[in-house]
Amino acid sequence: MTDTHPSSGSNPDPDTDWNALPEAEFRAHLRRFIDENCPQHLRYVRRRLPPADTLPWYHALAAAGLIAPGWPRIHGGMELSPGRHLVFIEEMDAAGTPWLHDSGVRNLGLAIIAHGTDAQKQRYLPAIHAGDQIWCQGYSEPGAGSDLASLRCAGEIDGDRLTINGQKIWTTSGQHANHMFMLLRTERGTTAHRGITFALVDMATPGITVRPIYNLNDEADFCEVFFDDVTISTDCILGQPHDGWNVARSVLGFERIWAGSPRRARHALGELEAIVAQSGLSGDAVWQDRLVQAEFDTLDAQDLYRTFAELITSDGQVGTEVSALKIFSTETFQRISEWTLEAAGAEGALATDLDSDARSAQPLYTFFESRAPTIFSGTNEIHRNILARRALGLGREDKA
Amino acid sequence: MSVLDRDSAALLAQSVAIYAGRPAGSPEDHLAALHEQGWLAAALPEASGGMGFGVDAAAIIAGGLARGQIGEPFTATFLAARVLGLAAPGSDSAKALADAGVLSALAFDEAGAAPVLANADGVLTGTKRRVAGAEAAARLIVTATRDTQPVLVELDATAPGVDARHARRIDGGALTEISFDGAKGTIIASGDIVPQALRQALAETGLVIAAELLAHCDSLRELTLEHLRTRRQFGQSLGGFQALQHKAVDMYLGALLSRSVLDHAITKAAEDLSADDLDRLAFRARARLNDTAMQHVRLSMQLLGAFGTTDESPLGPHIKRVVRLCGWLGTSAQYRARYAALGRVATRNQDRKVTT
Repeated sequence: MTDTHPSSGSNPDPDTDWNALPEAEFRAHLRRFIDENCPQHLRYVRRRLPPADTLPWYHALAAAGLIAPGWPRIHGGMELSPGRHLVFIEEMDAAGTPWLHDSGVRNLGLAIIAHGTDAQKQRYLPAIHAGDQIWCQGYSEPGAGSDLASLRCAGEIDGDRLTINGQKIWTTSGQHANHMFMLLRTERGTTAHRGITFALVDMATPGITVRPIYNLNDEADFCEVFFDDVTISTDCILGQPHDGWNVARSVLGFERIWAGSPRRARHALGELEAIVAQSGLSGDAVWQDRLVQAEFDTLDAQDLYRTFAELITSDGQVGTEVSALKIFSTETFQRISEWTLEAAGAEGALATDLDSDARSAQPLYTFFESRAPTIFSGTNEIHRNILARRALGLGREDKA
Repeated sequence: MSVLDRDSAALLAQSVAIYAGRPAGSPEDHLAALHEQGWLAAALPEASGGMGFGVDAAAIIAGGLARGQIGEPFTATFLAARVLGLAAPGSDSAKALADAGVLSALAFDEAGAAPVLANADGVLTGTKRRVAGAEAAARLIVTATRDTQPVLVELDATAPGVDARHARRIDGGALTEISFDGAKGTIIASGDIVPQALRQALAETGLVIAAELLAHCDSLRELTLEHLRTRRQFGQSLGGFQALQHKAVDMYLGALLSRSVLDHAITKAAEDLSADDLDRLAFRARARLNDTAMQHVRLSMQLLGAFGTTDESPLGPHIKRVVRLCGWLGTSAQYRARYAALGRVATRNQDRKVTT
C-alpha cells in the first residue's frame, strides 16, 4: 500500500450517489475497502496514534472519496444522509479503524462551507480533504467550559490584523494539529454571545505554546494552548467579526447526535461480558441480571439514536431534545464501565496496557474513559438545564 | 394482520382520544361503546368478524383509553382475542366477541397451582391463577393439557364446575383464581399451535401494556409539570429550582427513551420475526416501560409533595393503574431473566467481540 494509491477499485467519482446504493452493498463496499486499505497494525489500536502513523489511511480514504462523509459532493464529500452516515461510522468502528485527527473534516469543514468566503473555501477545504491541515478546536478556556460564552481569550482587530492573547484548554489533538479553529472575545461589554469571533489560526504562527495534559489513563489526549501576541490576518476570520457564536452553533447538529452515539456503551457491554466470564461470574444471577440490564440500556440507546437520526434534517439541524440522547448514552456508558470494574475485582486496579489490542478488556481504562463524555460537549447538567428550560418550559414563570 | 399507515393511525388515535375525553359512563355503556367502535375485536381476523388489526392499532387504542383512565377491559380482551385469532379463529368465543361484544378472558397462568387437564370431551380439572378480565367475561379461554398434548378449551364462565375467586386489585379490577372441577368445555385448538399462539399473544400484549404505561407516564408527567409551573415557594415557582428541574428532566428523558423503544418494537413486531426475536423486543420494551412508569410514580409523588400521597390527587388513578400494569405478565426482573434464558444478542457480532 502506498500513501496515495489505494489498491481498491473504489470509485472517487464525485457523482457517486452513496445514498442510492442499497445498504448491504454500501456496507460491503466499505468492508472491502477497509480490508484492502487499512493495514492491520492500525486496527483496534487503543491509544490515539499520531497523525504521522494514520496519514496513509487518511490519504487512502481521501483518494477514494471516503474521507468526508458529511460534506457535499462538490467539495469532495460523500453527502451521506444522516442514516447512511451512521452506517459509515458503524462499519469503521466495527473494523477497528484508527481514530483520525479529523476535526477539520468533522467540525470545521461544514462551517467553512456554510460561512466561508470563496477564498477561504479554496484555501482550506482541499487542504483539509487531503490531510495536509490537521485541525484542533479552541473553544474551552480555564474559566469558560460549560459556560463557554464567558470566554476571555482576546482578539484585537486592528485594520487587517488580528492579535490574539490568552489561553485555551482541553484542546484535543493540540500537540499534533497544525491549525486551530477558535473562538475569541473581540468585543467587551456586549452581551455574552455577541462580540465573539471565529478565527482560523496556523499553529506555526509565532507566539503559540502547546502543553500536553495527561489524563488518568496516562494519555496526552488534550492540551493547553497559550497565545502571546499572536498576530494573523483578518482573512482568517470565518463569518462576520463578532458573530462567531452563530458560526460555531450552526454546525452543532450532527456533532450532537455523534456525542450521543451508543458506540461506546456497546463496546463497554462487550467488555463487561468478557470480564464477567473471566472472573468466573457467568453463573451468578446478579451478574446475569446486570448483563441483561446493560444490554437493554445499550439497545435502548440505539433505538433512541435511530429516532434522532431520522429526525435530523439534511442541513444537520436537530431540536433541543437531542440533549436527551447525549445524556442517556453517556450515562449508560458510565454505568456499564462501573459494573465492569466491579466485576474485575482486585484485578480492576491493574494498570492499563496502552499497547494492548482495543478489543481486549481493560476495565480501568474504560472506567476512566467513560468519565469524560458526561463532561464534554456540554456537561450533562448543562444539558438537563437546557431541557428543563426549552423542552419543559420550567423556570420561565418568574422572568415573564 | 395489517399495519396501519400514518393517516389511519392518526385517525384511530383521534377517535380514541375523542371517546376517552368524554365523561365516563357506566361499565356497561363503556363496553357497548368499545364494541360499537369495533375496538374490542379489532385484533381478530376479518374472517372472524374482526378488523385484522395488529399490535400497532391495539397500542394506539390502549394508550388512548389509558389517558382517560378507562383501559379496562381492552387489553385483557386483546390478549384473549389474539390467542383466539391465532389458534381458533372459527371458535364460538371469537364469533361472540366479534358479533356481540361478549368478552372472553384468557386463563393460561398456573403459577404453581394444580395443572389444568382436559379429557377428550373438553372436561377440565385443575386451577388457573392471575386471570385478568374474568370478572367481566362471559367466556373463558383456557390452556390445558390432554394426555401430553397442549389444547385450548372454551367454556362459559358460569358453567357448572367453574369456581372463580376474584381478589380485588388496587386499580379496581380483579386478579382471579379459577378452579375447574369437571367443568365441561369445548376443545377449539390442539397441538403446537396452542403454545405458539400463546407465546406470540403474550409478547404482543406485553407491547400493548407498554403502550398503556407510556400513556400513564405522559399523564403523570403533565400533572407534575403543571404543579412545578404554578406552585410557588420561597418567592418563586418550583420549576425555577434546579434540583427539581433535573428531576423533571429525568422523567422527560425516561419517557422520550421509552417512546422510542416502544415505537421501534411495535414497528418491528409487524415484520416477520422469529418467536425468539419478538420475545426479545417485547421483553426489552416492557422492562423499559415498567421502569420508566415506576420512575414517574416515584418522582410525581415526590414533586407534588404530601398531596401526591393522597387519594385526592389526580395522580392517584394513574399510579394505581401503573402498579397493576407493571406486574402484569411480568416485572422488569422477570423479563430480564426470560431474556437471559433466550440468550443475549447485542455482542453477537464477532467484529466487536471483546476478548480478555
